[in-house]
Amino acid sequence: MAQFNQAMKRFTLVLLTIFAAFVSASAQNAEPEQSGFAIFKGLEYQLKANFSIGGSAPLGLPSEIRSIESYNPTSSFGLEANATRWLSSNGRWGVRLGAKIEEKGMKTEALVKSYLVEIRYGKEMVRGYYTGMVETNVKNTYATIPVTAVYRLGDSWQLTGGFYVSATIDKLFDGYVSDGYLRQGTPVGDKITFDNGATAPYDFSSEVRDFHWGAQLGAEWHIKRHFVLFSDLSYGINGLLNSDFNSISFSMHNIYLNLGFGYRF
Amino acid sequence: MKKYFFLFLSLVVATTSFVSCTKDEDDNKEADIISATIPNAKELLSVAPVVKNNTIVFRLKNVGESKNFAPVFELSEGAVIVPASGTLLDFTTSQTYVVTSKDGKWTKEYTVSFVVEDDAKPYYYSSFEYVDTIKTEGPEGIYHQFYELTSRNEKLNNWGTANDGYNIMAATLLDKGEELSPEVYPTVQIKDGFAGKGVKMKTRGTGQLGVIFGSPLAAGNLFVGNFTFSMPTIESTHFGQPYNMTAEPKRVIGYFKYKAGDEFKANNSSSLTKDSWDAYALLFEAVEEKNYLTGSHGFRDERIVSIARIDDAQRVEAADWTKFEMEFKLVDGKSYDPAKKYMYTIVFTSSIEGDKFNGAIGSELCIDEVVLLTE
Repeated sequence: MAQFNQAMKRFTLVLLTIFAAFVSASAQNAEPEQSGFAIFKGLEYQLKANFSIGGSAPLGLPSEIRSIESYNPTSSFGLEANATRWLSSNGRWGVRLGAKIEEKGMKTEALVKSYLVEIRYGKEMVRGYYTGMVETNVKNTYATIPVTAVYRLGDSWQLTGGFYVSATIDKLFDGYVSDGYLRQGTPVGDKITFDNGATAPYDFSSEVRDFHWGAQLGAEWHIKRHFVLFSDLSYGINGLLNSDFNSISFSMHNIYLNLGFGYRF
Repeated sequence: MKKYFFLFLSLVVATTSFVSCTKDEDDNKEADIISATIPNAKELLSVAPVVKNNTIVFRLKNVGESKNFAPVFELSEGAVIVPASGTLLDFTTSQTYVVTSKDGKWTKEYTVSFVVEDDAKPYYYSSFEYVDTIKTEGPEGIYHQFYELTSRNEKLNNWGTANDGYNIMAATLLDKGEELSPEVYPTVQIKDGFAGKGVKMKTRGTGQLGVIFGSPLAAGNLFVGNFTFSMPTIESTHFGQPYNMTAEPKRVIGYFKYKAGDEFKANNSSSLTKDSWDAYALLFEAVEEKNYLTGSHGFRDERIVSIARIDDAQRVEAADWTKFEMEFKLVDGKSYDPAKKYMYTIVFTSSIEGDKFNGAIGSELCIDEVVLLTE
């Protein structure tokens, strides 16, 4: 709970900073005779809630991963406030700045073959090729600032596209291996068998990157004057885990589809 | 309006396609001999061959003179072996086989040997005079493996230890200034045994990774049998070798020294507050598959015919070599039948609850001159 409170505090701070920045930017452009409130003129506000389905996954599965035996998107939610400035009153283009707090998570069970892993605790280390089941739990919470271009397609449709930066507030990346074997050092090294329900847990949470950035693309359907349905796809351009982390031989990216609804003021 | 609906759909499709495209499987990287046998194995062998990562040992009954055999191997999928499976070779000295993985990138050598067992004797005697010093590269390691010589001067690895398992992390568990040597492993040969050389077992810590691997402590151990690393680690000790004696086992005698480590640590429930050692021997019925008992037998496996265990009066600390003796007692409802095939084991450990990973780091048990008697 303390962590959540801290997250909320930080989130509020981030929100305020963004709005301050946005407002001051608008103020500079504002005509001198306009009143203080007028700086908000031409800005359109939204509150959005979404759930996320997706994965922290390599781009295209590497050949070491033979199959995904089970996949659970888990319940991951996001909340966003944003403001859009239309570049002209009847124009099609606008710029949107948002502040978002979001979870990205999944739970998978994969069957891997000769998958290079390295488990390290301080100076103790086991490195080798693992064949068998790997369960992975990912649940990270981010404070995200999306900056997107908005394009109006008629009255009820809008397309969005742009970039985001995320600060990681809460990290979880763990799991365990079971029903398989590890070959130490090389694929012909000594064999350590995991049978009869034996597991070896791993926890790479501390290796989740503090700052991420990525691209997003989406569409909004304005069903009623105030009610919006939306969907967007976000793709983490830098990897989920620190780049000097070698326990997993390929880079993983946050690839999530957000589905949700919003209220337009 | 509907025409934009595809956007929602295409986004969903795009996401799922990231997950769904599995690449073609790479060619197998493994180069294992999975199992080995010879024609007429039942008549010729005293026990199924022991296949380890780089060695295979066939134990021959003392029936024929010829050592020409044509071993047949089951290999990893797609792997190739040279000389080919089924090639007739002279095993007067051991032969080396090379297995190459299907992808052609990995090779592994196996030393295959045939050892002729001695004829049945009225006793079994071990003085722990001989060790091979095993050196490994990935991981870096160096440790002792005990062997005995048969009457034909052939090496027989009757005794197993957990050193193979400890080796996985040994190099990373060194204290500052400590060097990798057989002495840092749980079981090591010592120069000053009761007579000639002897064995020292020492309970060791296994660090953070040991906890991850479900073995937060490694008791020094020595047992008649083989060690095959498996998880849970308690299943790694495969107790038992063929019982090749003229009569029912009666007693095990030997010499010991013991000093308990300072701080007893219970990783699982325990009634102890101080560490102690343990010694026992079992006679059990031979079976076709899984012809061994593991560390989890709890003296309750239904194959066990008789049990000898050190009593509390003898299970003490001793600074000087002290004689111990334990007598076999038949398990209720079991009897010894000379016509039947049996396996036996003798087990020593520097921490009595080492199977539950309870013990004191530093507990030290020395053993020498072990004799199993049939009278």
